[in-house]
Amino acid sequence: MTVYVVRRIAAAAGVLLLDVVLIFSLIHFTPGDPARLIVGDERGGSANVDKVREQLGLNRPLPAQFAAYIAGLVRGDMGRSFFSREPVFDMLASRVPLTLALAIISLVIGLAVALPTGVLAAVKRGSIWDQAFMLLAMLGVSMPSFWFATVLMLVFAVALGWFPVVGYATFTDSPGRWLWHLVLPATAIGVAQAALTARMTRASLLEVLRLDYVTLTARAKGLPEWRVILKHALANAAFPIVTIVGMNFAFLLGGVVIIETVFALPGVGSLLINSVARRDYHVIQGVLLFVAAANVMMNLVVDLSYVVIDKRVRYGAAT
Amino acid sequence: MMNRRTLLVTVALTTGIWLAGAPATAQPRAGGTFTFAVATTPPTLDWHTTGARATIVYAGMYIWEGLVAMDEKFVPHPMLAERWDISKDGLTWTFPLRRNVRFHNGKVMTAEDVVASLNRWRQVSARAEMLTRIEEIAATDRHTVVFRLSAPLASLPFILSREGQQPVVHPKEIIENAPVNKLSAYVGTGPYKLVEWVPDRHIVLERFPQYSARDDVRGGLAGRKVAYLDRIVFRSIPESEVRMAGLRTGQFDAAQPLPQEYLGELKKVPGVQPVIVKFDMKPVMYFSMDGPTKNVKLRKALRAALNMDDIMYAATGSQDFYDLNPDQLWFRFQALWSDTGKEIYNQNNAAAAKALAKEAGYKGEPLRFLASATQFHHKRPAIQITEQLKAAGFNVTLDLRDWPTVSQLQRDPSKWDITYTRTVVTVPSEAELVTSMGFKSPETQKLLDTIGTETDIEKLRAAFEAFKRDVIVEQVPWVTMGDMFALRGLRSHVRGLQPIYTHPLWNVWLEK
Repeated sequence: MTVYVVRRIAAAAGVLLLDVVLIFSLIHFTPGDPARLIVGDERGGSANVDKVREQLGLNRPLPAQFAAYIAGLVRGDMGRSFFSREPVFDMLASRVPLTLALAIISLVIGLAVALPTGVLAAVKRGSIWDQAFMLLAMLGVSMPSFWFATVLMLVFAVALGWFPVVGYATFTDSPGRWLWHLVLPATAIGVAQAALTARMTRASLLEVLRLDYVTLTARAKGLPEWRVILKHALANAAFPIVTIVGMNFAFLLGGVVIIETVFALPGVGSLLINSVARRDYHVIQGVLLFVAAANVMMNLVVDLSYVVIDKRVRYGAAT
Repeated sequence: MMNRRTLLVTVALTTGIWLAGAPATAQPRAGGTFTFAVATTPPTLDWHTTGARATIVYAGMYIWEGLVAMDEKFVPHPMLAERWDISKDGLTWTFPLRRNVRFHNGKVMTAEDVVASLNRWRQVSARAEMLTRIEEIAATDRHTVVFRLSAPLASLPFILSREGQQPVVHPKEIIENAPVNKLSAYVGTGPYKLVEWVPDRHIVLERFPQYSARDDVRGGLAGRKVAYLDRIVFRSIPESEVRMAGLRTGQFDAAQPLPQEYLGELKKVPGVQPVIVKFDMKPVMYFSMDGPTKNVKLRKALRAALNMDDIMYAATGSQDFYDLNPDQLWFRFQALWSDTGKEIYNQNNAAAAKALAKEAGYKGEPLRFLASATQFHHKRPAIQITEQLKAAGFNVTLDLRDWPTVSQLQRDPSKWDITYTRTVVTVPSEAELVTSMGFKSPETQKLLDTIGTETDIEKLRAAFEAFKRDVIVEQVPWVTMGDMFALRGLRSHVRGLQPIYTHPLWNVWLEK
């Protein structure tokens, strides 16, 4: 097990290094000039643009810029924003809690909706419930999230006035207000996630329910039906569900760009999109690196969780 | 005393200008927080180095002031200066400063701060290139600053008060040796001080209690500024639908910009009033001096094909938001406006375009039209223009990119043949904008030199008429499409807000 974890972490480090190279090259080969955007609408001011480029170190050759960036990373320095001059690490640190909270709340909302509906749809396969739930799930998957978010906002914030249109309060300022601001965006994300998870739950449970140890053994033992489904079937159907939930969570940690933009939430996603629009290279690199790291980590956590879910899974053995 | 000729220019520029909204009747009251939903966030707060509108109107103009400030009619007035005096030969300008003006850090402003700020501005700002005639800026005593010039420069007050990269005054210790975009603190003499700037989230400003206001009532960024509001919060809300939603619920006191199509809806929302800001931008088409469009006949041919009504409708989505103004430089309310060149504006004549193209020897060479896909007021008119040009027989391909890419590619005229942007000319010397995409000619330079130095208003007007006729009509460095207006939504308890695009929030109060 330890060997496995160490090997996985080493592989993850390799993946991240490759990411750094890829991210750096992609950004620098994309046209656009942060210096020009800092100087603003003024035209005919190329001398000024050159001054800003020099100031930002953008006049150096790319390999030198890359070497400086890597040297910084090794020291734990992700660079500074070209625009606000704030260290990228601090910018991320201030954004991650919101994105994390949004991811967790939407995950809870998603699971609370997905598991019961998925199980019910599988157990009552072919019934009107099954068809209704799966129709809704199809709708949830295919509904554009920005549209759903806008509908939620228009209904619950504008028409009913139950929630604020936009804004954010930190948890430490006021937990109540914090949650109040996150309910609508988390619901918008959670419902879309729920749709996918519910379909996965249904499919995976149906497969297990067909197996002998459920149809014959568990039921033959005279166990009540809910125990058969929850303990015997669902536990064994959990792998794909955990995998998809884990992947979704990693995706959410990258920031739900559209939802954060719609609700003007200062999360990782909105930081990324604003930085791309400004060509704020260090920030873009920092955010993408964080997202890559989050994905690698979640993959590892999902893999390790299999051990907890199913004792038969053993890692690290030579075979 | 103000030089008589400068005064003439000033008076002339003031004539025939629209009024700044209805006069406020109610008694102003202090207090409250004003939350303004806006679309963008400043790229930097270093005003000396940037012309970005967000820097100016969401932060800069509240925090800092310059020697001179412009009113809403683009007439400069003294701000931190008491007045200005010009020597007979026009080579020495003296600016006595107002006394007891304090910075937000409590320090009293002196001539040393002004000189340090102006010298730093000359180093870091591209606009300072307009001031090559300055030999020296010096403090002759604690309260007097003197400019010594090598040649007369009538437009000095305009240059000092033009909003983009304005030479505003910082404390000497902050500004000395401060590199571009790297100020150690944001400290000015303005009516509001900066509390917090969180990029992409908000800018919070708070009333500066020791602010020393002028007595003269002007408008725009000039004259008396009274800070009635305790706090001003500019919230960065990228989605226009969301700015509108927050305005409806009262979470925001104002929202701008709003898509012009929202006008009808805004009229129906109780507690909200729409404001049409009749001064925004002129959409403008530039030609590359590198490819086929180097040929002036081809440029004339392209211009002949355009139907401005359809283009402006595409840009704004409503006839309430544009004016088919034939003047290729000035808005209709500006004093130097004229209809010179109306025969070449809005021709909508495909036959003439084809004839001119034939004369130009155009044989269907591809023309690349570079425009921004990320701003709807660029993209929609660009599509419209492309279709009009195609219908007139031009082989135009539309190249839509995001704005950062467009602004970089525009620097390289080999990458495009036609490009589209928006512009505004507020002071005479900005006629130079026509040369910003590489257009040059000896007679243009001669006319621009005259415009830059002429102090007699009638001669200035004559120079502009010649410029419009001989350069813009005959050489086609650019084609402007018309005047474009903006839409602002305002809660009805807001009082005193001027309907100008900079929307200053001093002299504004909440009637709650």
